[in-house]
Amino acid sequence: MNPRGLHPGAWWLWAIALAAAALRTKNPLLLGLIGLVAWVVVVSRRVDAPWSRSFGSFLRLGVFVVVLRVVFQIVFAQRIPGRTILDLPSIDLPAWLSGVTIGGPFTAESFLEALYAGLQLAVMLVCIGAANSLASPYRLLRCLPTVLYEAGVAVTVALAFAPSASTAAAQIQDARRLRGRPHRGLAGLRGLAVPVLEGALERSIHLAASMDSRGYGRRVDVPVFRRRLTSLSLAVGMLAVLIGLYSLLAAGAPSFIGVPALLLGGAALCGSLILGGARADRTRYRPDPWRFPETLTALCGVAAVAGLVAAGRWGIGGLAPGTNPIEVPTLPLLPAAAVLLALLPAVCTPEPTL
Amino acid sequence: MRRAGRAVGAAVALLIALAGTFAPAALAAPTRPTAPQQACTYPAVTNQVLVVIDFGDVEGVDGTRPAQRSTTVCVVIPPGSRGMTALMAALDQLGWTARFEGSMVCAIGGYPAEGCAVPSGENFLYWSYWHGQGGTWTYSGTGAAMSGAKCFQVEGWRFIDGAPQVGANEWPDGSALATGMCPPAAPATTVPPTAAPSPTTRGPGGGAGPKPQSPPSVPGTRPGDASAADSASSVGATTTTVAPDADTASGRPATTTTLDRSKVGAWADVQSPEQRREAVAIETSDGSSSAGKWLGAGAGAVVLGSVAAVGIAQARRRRPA
Repeated sequence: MNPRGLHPGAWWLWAIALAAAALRTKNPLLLGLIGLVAWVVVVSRRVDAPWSRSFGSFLRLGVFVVVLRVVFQIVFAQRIPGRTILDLPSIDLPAWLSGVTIGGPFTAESFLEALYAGLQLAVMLVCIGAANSLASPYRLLRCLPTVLYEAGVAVTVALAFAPSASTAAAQIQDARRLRGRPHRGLAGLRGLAVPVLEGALERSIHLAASMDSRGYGRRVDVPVFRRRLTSLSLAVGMLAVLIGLYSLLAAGAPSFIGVPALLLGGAALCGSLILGGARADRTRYRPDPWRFPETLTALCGVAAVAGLVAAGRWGIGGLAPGTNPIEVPTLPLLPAAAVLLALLPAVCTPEPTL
Repeated sequence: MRRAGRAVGAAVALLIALAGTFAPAALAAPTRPTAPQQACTYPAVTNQVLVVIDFGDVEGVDGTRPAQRSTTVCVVIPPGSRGMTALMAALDQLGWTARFEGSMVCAIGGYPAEGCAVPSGENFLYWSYWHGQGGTWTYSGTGAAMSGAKCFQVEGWRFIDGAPQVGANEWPDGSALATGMCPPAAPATTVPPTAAPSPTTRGPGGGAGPKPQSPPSVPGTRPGDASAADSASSVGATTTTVAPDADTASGRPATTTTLDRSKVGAWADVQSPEQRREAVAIETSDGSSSAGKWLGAGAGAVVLGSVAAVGIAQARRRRPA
């Protein structure tokens, strides 16, 4: 395969599916496996770009979440029976604060429960971090549907200007220090804000002028009927999606209209996107192709989540090892195999290029 | 810039962790219509609490129910204890165990065998938690780890299918309510903390102390039955005192045991020995294949280790490129 970057949508589908798989289990071994799979694919397929360094910071955030979850469990969690490993003094709160406890005996069972829950959140963060470091955000924005083109351009401009604004801020700070003006604290901030904002305004006016001269914002004349059809299908789609989600998620609501309403709403929203896309008359420059490796990557992620959902449905044990009484976590066969399938993109995708 | 980014990251992490901490607390008390709570009228003279465990009549649940549908135990707990303390004391006395998910009671005495608040249609099968007072049952508005057992003298547990209407068909066995309270407190034999090992150890394998007496009453006898109430003054009762909660522990003796066999048997409405053995068998059968479990855990660790090795190899291979 010739080296090329994979379609960013494929990476995001794969990562979101892995995160969804992590949502279905509290088994620390399975969660660890999901995190490891994400890491292996990242080290195999990332490029040397600013965004690909974000995996480490997501990993640190995950560790922080686990620690914080355990600390919260120690301080606030309810007193449940078990083997006490830490006995803290406790405060009895008034009745209107029932539902919150502070302190009390901290049990091994309660620690494990917090650890598993924290690990689950951390692994989901790692999955999102993997998508962030594998897929270029600029190329992801270019894949937006045509109707969202203008919003996408605004986001791209903002993303491109954030680093330059921070560079400008550093330059101004240096200049103020050389001139002996305050450059730290609140006083420094006061002197910094105006020049940075002024510079940003100037840059955006320049950019707007250059975009205007290149024909940005030109609209195609759309017939009135078609415009109204777009608005109508947008409104109907939103309403149907709302009704569908409500009846699927709320207990007591009639559930039989859930899926049809959701499908209808999705179709109407897609229709409105396509109809609205006709307003913007533009072509794509070297669009990212969607070929077999992209499909394979997305399917591998979907296979992982499907394996875990199926295991839950078929009552395969081990997805949530008990914490009270404590059970030894084991690696259930089917979910583990499904998660290992998500490792395939590390070898079955073309080598990336910048 | 970096500092701001870190602050935002910390805030996000805080929110995520907060949501994770309080979600189980919300789960622990399923939303159900509750009767207006009555003010506590009992003077907290004794710390005796009656615990009613009713296995209910839900069909088609994995796990074996004891032949006797409901069991009533009288326990002595420190003032200010939670409902959970009363339940654990009662289970200790019965030689039963419980299974939890967070602070939610999933199974009592090995029933149901697996699952926690399993959905059934639009409802859930779960152990409902009740306070009995003044001859009526009230569905507890908070979980047992939260609500105090001090002024409600009867604590009820019943396995229900959570159908929308709350009524007599969902209450725990009410015969204990008729008489209201535990038998009058007998002069307590206070064991100094240093003199004897703790008679009750909580948690799995509890019951290192004196075993509860087998009931002299015929299985099926309910505490509310007239005959049982009559015989109550002639047979033996077991009243176990539990080590005080940490929140009330200050200045109290670690353990007090009240064993008064001359009094009241119906309160120790424990099952017959055969039923007890059966119940214990249910619980121990779960942990029988622990060697296999460790093997599974080891296999899992091997799989994780090999994936990690692949990752390290990949990272090394690509670094010079």
